[in-house]
Amino acid sequence: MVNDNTNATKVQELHAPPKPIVVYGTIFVLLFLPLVLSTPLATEILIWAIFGMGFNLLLGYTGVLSFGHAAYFGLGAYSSGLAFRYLDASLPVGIAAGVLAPMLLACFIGALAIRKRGVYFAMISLAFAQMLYFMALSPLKHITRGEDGLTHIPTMAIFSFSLGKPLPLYYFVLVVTAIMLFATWRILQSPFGKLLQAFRENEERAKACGYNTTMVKFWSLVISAFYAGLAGSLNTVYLGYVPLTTLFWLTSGTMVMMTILGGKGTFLGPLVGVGVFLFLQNTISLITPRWELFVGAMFVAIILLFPGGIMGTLEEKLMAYRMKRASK
Amino acid sequence: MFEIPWNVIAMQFFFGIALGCIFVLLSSGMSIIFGLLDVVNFAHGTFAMLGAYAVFVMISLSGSFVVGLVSAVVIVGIVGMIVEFLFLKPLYGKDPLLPLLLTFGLSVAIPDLIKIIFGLIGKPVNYPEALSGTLVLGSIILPGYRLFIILFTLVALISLWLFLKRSDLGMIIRASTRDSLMVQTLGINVSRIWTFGFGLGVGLAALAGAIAAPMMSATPDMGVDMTMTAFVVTVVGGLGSLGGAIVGGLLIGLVVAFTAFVAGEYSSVSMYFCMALILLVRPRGLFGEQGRE
Amino acid sequence: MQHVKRLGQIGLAMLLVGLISAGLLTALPATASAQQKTIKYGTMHPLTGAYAVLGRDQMRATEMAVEEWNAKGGVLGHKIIWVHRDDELKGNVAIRRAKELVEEEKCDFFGGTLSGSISLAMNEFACKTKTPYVAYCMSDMVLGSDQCEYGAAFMVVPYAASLAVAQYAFKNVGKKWFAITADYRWGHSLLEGWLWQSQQMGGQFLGNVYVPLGTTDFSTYYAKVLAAKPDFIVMNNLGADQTAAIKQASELGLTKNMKIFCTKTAQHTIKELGSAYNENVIGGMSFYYKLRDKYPGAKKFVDKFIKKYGAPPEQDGECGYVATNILFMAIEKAGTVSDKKKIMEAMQDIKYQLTKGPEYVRGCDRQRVQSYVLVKGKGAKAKGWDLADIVAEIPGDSIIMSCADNAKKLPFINIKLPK
Repeated sequence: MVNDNTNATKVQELHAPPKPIVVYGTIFVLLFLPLVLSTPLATEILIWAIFGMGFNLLLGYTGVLSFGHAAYFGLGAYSSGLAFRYLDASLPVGIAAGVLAPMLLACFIGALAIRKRGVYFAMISLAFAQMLYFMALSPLKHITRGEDGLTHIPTMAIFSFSLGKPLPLYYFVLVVTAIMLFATWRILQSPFGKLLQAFRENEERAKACGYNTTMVKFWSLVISAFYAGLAGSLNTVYLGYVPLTTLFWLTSGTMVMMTILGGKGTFLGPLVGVGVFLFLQNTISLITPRWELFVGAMFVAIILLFPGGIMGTLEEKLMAYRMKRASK
Repeated sequence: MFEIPWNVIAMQFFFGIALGCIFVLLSSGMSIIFGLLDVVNFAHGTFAMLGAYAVFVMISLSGSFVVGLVSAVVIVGIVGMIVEFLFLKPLYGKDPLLPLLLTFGLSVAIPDLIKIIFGLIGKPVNYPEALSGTLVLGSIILPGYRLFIILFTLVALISLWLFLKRSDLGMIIRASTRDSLMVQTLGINVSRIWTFGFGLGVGLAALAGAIAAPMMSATPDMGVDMTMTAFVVTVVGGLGSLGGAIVGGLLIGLVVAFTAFVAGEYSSVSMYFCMALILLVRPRGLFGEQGRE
Repeated sequence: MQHVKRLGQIGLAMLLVGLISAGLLTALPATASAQQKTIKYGTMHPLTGAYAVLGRDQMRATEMAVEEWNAKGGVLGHKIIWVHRDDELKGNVAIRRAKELVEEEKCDFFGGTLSGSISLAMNEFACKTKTPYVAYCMSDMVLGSDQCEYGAAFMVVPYAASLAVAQYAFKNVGKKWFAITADYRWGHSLLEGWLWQSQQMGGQFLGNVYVPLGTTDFSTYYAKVLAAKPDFIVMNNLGADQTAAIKQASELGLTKNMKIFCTKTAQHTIKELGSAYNENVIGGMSFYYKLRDKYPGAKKFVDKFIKKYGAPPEQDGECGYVATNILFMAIEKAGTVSDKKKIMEAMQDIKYQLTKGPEYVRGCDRQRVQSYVLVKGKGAKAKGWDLADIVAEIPGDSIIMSCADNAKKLPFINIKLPK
């Protein structure tokens, strides 16, 4: 009984929202990222990190695995790309389009499948993402330009300040990242955030307390689609181009790997996971083209040895250290 | 003017069934694994790819196609059992998503391993000369190898059915699928049954890959599509149902074949539409049991 | 058990540290030696993904060309520093790599890529940053509004491949044809070429099916083909798609009594197909290594390549070799390494003979005017790399449209593609 109790507090503390200093500190560190890494890589890390924060909300905090998150990312990228290219939309309008469309899609997929068991939902979400991919590839190629991807997207500007150069673009994406980081922090502290975590820890008990699990999972999916869509449209702004691969299943797979690597259900996990993954991929691919072997093997090792990922394991170690000191 | 070309439709039907047979083998393996171990095997197509390479190696060693097929199943089955023993066993009883994620990791790593061993260029697999002919019925042309696929799948399914229904081991497997705890209580080592069951399911995947190999050569990246197809068929047929895998597989095969005929561009997206439709009309799949999904 | 787990953890941690430090170490020497005057050339190739074989050949041939120039003392006394990246055949990765090469690595020139669609995005990037880009792949970037003065393409333009193969087919085989076309821009460009040539030479077009990329079962399309009874089938696809398509055609007995023309094929596709690629299958290539029996330049290039890497080069390798050479020749001709505009102007109308007969880069749209080779399979008689025989070499000038036409995408823009 005693054991159970300490476990509960451990869980509670482990997944407690971070202190404000962590949020501000992270943003401060990110200010200097282009000094260490190449600016395009740094920008890509931020974009994926936004994607990852939303994904983590769903997988890490709600416990729902969506293996088709590329659908929301890609749909976001295409929606804003199409708005920029064909409708001459301004930056905010394009991004709004890129955020709304994935959320609607999430409503549809959620209504159809969110009631299913975890693994079943994973398969269905993947299949839906593939459906979108193949639609964009062949039947809808007159709009999406198929395999060519959507090119000729004009360079965006914000308040007549051009985002064509790498550094201004980086800091624009950083502002959005900071906002989303802050938003995630607030969501986790809100009653809704607590509810998400209650479900992940014990769905039956939460159900018994009278909460509607399906609705909570559903909204978690929709919010997560918001993040993915936002990341997708930022990706369009950054590349000036929408490649078809944004919808490909490997985009979802990469996201899964990044989140698990960083630590699902930890606040900084996605950011760390994205950073480490892209950095490793970049460095290993300089040495050998067979980097997928290393990345895949590393992923298997993490699942077996450290299911908490980098941040989860670190937090656990920190916790164990603190408890040891407290008991002395 | 618009005469309905019956001969073309008959051929299309035949090709659809032959294609469906490969899907049936793939997804029945997936269903056995899911029914027994509650594991969604993301590396299912990867094992099918291993089957294709195994059949290539064994044919060049033995010179016989049938020996190649059988040994491919055995080899990949054993590889599957090792994988289950080393990687999946530690994950049972933990988060049910972990085995899915682990097999996903394998599906990323294994193709690269194959590229290192066999090179980047795919390997040609040839079927025996005896099957290279075509059967001509009036204006209908049926390739011999496709007929072989259909007959072979039939034989494989009947032996699988006999094995599950008639043999002791088959009975234990079926019992463990229903209630593994009870089987364990009866003094049977369920853990070993799981290992065997995974090997069996993966072996069926390997058979699908090996049979498909002569039609498209063995290439390292051929697995992903097969995994996706297996997912779709399993969702359509009902998760964990063998009958569902068979009906679902044939259905999807026919859907793909006839879409290719009517509107070629939609052929690869049609199976996903089919799945969405089934989900709307009958969420648990054609043969799925209530509550398992 | 606990110990084992701990051991595993430590092992993994060490592995990670090792990998990261190895990565940092390999990054260092690139910046170390900056005493001699240098120019920097960056290339991208798909070293992972479905076309990794071709990407590898592009990379190897580029390496070979750079080594040859450096052995001669570089370009205008400048040593060439060559860096290459894996673009994974993905548009987003390719753009990131291009940005890294140009903006971070400060490459003066960049090149490569295998996909026409990625080359379009690269071309756009080159125009935006005013950095010369040499494409190694078949690309529409020289057509219509896509072209700008900083992009050049050194593989044949897609329609030219169709014109070459179609000329041969209508002259030697028959008039009635049926096409199987991969459903994307490149496939459509090829089909347009075929339709136009068919109109010119009195061909009879019986029908076409569009097949989505990545299709593995083509048998379901052949029922239509059989019903149409053409003289020959045209394959407008590549790689795994083409492998599956020909395998299944042979299964239906089509390779026994019908001809199949692949508008573009590749050495490794023929190897993958084994006996299915027999003498009734005829494929187009911009270069086949047996050209070494015809041209001394080809012999020099192919023999050196085989000696260095153990296998004959694909056409993509040859293209990379020629593209790299032309770039450096243009720099020499311009007499400057820094004036990019002048270098691109010098590239226009440059004449050379490297791996085939005499060739030139056309002034108006910076594309290499080159011949196109048709090869015939050997089926079960193929051995090692002796996979096919050359049946024809169609001269470059006969398969390319005038500059004025190209700029307006004529005459192909008037071709109505079947539904």
